[in-house]
Amino acid sequence: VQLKELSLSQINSLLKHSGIVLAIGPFNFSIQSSINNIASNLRRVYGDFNVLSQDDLIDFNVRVDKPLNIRSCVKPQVFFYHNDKSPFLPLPFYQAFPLLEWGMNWCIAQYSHQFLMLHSAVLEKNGTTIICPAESGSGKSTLTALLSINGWRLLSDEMALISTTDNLVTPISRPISLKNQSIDVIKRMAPNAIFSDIVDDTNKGTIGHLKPTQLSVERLNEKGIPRFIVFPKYEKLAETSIELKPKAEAFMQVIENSFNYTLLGSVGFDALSNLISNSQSYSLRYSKADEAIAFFEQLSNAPAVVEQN
Amino acid sequence: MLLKVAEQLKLALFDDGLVVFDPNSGQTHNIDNNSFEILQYIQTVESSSIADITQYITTGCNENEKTLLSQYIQDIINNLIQLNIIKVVECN
Repeated sequence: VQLKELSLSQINSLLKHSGIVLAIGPFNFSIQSSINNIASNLRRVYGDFNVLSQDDLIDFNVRVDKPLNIRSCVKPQVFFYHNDKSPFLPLPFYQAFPLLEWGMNWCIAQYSHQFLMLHSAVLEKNGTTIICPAESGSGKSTLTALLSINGWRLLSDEMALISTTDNLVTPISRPISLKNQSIDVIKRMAPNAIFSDIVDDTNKGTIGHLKPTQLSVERLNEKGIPRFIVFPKYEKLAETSIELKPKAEAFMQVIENSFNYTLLGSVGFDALSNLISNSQSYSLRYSKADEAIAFFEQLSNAPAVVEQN
Repeated sequence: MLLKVAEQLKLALFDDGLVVFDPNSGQTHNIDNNSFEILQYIQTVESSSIADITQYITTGCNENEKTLLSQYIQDIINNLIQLNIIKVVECN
């Protein structure tokens, strides 16, 4: 059953009682909440994901709820819980859905060391998988959303999950987290795009989560073979500039964008060494979205090259 | 001064540099890729002096080239020592 096949009241009921179990790529999340807008937001942006039963293997038990004290009604707050423990400070109540998303990111980043995890978007077209590691503020999510609405399959907006044995990328096509002006940019370019509630005044500014395309969710079980690594950087008014990045330099830059390279030790080095050896890296500086998209299209049509290293 | 390569290093050699992972410190370094030949030489002969390494690398070079290369090799070795990629095992 897909989440969109359940009514809001059914979702609400599950959230308030046993929890709703969503199969999100390699992870099964059991989500609980007594907050009504969690149900509506989940239904909107996770509608195409499969709902499992409580008897399935669950990787993460998470919950977002008001505290059981005065802050449930006076300047109300919301907590994120993983296994009934809260790893973060509470946020204002109206940020409940972004907090759930951030909490889910945290769970994956903390516990999924079977993968080399990069802070990176991953997209695929014509069998060409491109990893886009980038720091916050580089325009990664906006570019990811643009590519996604232009027919690219989203494997991830936030983190690349790279196998330490065969280098394949496991999709985790969760909603794309967009900030501030990016939300309007995407709404203008894709008027039918579906967003979660837009939440103002978070630590990151105004936040909205864009529903992943049906194509991306349908192909959640298809791993990607990374061929290119693109380090994107949006700069207002910048001329588009594309440079082939030397491999050793790319290696070090990927490390800077990794959640767990250091923790993995030799295993992480071997995985990254294979990834860099078997892919080409570029830095992309851009201000015009169409030129950035054209570059990705060019890569998706590039013939396979046998690398020297 | 005899030199020895640190144990259990992992290397990835690329056109633009040599990436070295040192499991002893957990650090990864991007260094001059000519270090690869020096590390290989030190590893092959177990422990060697800077003079041995210089002689090995500059074999077939003229005096001018030898002078230039000697300084370059010295700089690479100093860097490798500083990063604990090679260790001084014996001082004369």
